[in-house]
Amino acid sequence: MEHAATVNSLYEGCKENNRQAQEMLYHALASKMLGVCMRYASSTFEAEDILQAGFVKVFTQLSSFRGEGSFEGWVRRVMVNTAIEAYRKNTRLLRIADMAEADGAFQQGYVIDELEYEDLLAIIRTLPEGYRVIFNMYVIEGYSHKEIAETLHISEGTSKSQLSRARSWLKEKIKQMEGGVYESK
Amino acid sequence: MNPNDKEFDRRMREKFKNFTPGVPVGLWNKIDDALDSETSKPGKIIGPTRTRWKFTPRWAAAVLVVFALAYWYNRPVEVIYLQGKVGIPVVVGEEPPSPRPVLQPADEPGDISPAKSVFTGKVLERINRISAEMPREGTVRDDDTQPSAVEIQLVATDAETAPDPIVDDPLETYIIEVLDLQPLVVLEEAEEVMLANVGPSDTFGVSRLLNFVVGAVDQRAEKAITFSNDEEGSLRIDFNFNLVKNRKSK
Repeated sequence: MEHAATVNSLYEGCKENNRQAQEMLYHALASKMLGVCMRYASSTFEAEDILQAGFVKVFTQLSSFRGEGSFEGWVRRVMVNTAIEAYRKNTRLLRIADMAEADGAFQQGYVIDELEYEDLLAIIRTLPEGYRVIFNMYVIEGYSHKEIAETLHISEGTSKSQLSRARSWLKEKIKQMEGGVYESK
Repeated sequence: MNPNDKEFDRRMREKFKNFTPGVPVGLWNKIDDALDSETSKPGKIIGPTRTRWKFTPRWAAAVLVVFALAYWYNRPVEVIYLQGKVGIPVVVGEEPPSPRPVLQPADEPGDISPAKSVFTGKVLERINRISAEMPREGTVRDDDTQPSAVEIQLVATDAETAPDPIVDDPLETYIIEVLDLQPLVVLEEAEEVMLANVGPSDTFGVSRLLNFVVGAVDQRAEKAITFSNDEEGSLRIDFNFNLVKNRKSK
């Protein structure tokens, strides 16, 4: 609550293009936003580039924030859009063959809670880039298939199918890492 | 959606909800440099969207130029009158509160002086007397009964015409009257009779030419047809019928 109030108060200073307010806002949100960027990027370096570009976009396009919802949520959406732009620039062919191997593995169990952030992040990064973007947007950010389709210029059916394949891929990878049966705690 | 999928999604979401990795030192400097390069771009507007008007010397110079042009366009212009006086007319809409001064009639610049030299001294004396009684164009009467056609405020600057009441009183208001047509010269009765008795001058008319032609054809002393001018100067043809009768009788 206090964090949200601080961020909102810094928003007013950033509107006046106050560099001190901008720096304070950066320190308040940088860590959380880097976590968002790292889920989309293939590496930490790429995540930092996305974070830098995202904050520059936040401070230069502050007028586009219409006050609907929280300011932190708007900054988060800017980071996601910046990550998607980076993905579009570095679009790679999806490895459909690799995904096909994971289709039959979804029945086996895995443990998510016991995994460290870095391990889970490493598993997500093994996803092909298109699948990774769709998985992050739907599962973590909460976008609908319609919104994903509009943003990535794909059909809703493609979004649904790629999400399903992404889940299967991650379950397989987690299973391989843990080597155990899925247990819901 | 598969319940397993829902559960899987929920656990993933919860896992990354509080994921806050460490930010590398120096990343803010890169963002700071990027913001500086963005602001230095021409035409780039960053920050507040409101435009602030500043009164710069450019604006002051532009306003000054506009006022100067407006004054130049509406500046007072000299007007040259036909009578030779140079003045700056300003049309006023109200009658002046003070009474108008009495002015002596100004000499008209030579419009009747050639005619004056033709007549005798008596005639000239009478002309001057009548002219003195008549109101002239450009003069003022100290008489409110006279109707005013146009009211013009004159500021004359002609130094040649002296004494010129207009120059002496540059800001006085004068009344210009439209005069009735008057005969330029008025003769005494004796001169009129003398002029009336003078016959029409023997001008070279068509009758002379025609008589010459008839004389060339008819060599006799008496012509059968003669041309002359009547009292009014019109061409008159005279037939000598007696001459024709005598020819027949012979």
